[in-house]
Amino acid sequence: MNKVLMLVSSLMSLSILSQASVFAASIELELTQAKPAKKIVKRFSTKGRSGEAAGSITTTETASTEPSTVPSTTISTSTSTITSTTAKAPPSKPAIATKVNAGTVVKPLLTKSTLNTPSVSPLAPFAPLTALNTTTPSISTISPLGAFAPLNADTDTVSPIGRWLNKGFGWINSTLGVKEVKPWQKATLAEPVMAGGVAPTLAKFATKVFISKEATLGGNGVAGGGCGCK
Amino acid sequence: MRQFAVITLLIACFTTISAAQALNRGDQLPPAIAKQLALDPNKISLVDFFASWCVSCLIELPEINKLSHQLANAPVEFVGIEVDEDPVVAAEFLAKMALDFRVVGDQSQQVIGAFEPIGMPALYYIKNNTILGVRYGAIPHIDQVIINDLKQLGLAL
Repeated sequence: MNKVLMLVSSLMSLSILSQASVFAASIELELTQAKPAKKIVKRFSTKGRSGEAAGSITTTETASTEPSTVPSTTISTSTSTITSTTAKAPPSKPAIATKVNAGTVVKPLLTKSTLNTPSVSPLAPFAPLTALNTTTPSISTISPLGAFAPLNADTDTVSPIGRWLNKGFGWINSTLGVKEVKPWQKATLAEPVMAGGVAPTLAKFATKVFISKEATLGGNGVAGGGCGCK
Repeated sequence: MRQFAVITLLIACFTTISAAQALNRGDQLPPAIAKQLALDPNKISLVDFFASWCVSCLIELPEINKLSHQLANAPVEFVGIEVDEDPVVAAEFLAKMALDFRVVGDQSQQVIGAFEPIGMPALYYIKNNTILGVRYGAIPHIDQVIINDLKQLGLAL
């Protein structure tokens, strides 16, 4: 009876060892793509302390579903030759195989990150902008020459009371020698220094203070295109 | 009553009648000005007043200069009037612009004082010393405007 029990226990231990050895043998993951047989030969040459070594690495890859066409690698050097052939693959599995030895941890490649995936909905498309009008006004807006009415400075720009005052008190200007600056006499007025007032330096500092306090710039110039028009 | 009459008389004496009237469309050039400008009576003369400080003139003058080349064979004459008071400034400005049509220096401002334009630049259409039309101020596309004006004046271009 004891011999029978010992025999049974020894058989069970053998079966466990054989299963463990099979589990540690290999894990194969194969794809179902078909590829023609491919033979890659890589030659190498190294030089170290112990001497030089040269040889080649020959790799044969097939995508056939035949069980016998599995990748095999042969490394031949000047001193030794190592041939490695993986186990036969099942007929239904592809020949391109990844062999994972037992005890090796292989992490899958992180091809897509989900850490910064935006949780908000995308922006709505903007409304199309209207084209900016950067061209000069059309010629059609200019009145034709025949319909052009010259501006009468005395009647169109001065009120009746102003005209009456000009006639009544114009003698003051003539007595004092005051004359109106004509449009063609504005060369001096067009000088940049004329925009600075009596003290351009003080005006510059005042402008600096104004810009600092109001956080704005501009609006203190003179409008016009420089034509001297009234 | 007598005091009021005296005051009125004084005001009437000192009141200055406005200066010589500006030349407008339909007016005839004064003989002295016509002699000074010496315009061709067989052509429509485009008399353009400009100055170095006039920004609009800086923009328009190259267009007018180019138009003078285009209308070289047309019965049109281009005459520029430079009205800068400083002769040195005027000479420098003319050298800078390199105009190809005739330019009259009016540093004494007698010519423009007779025309009295209300703005700069001022463009006058003149034939037989008679003003046919006037353009004042900055005008975009002045070359096309001049061509349209000349067509309107009966010139076949």
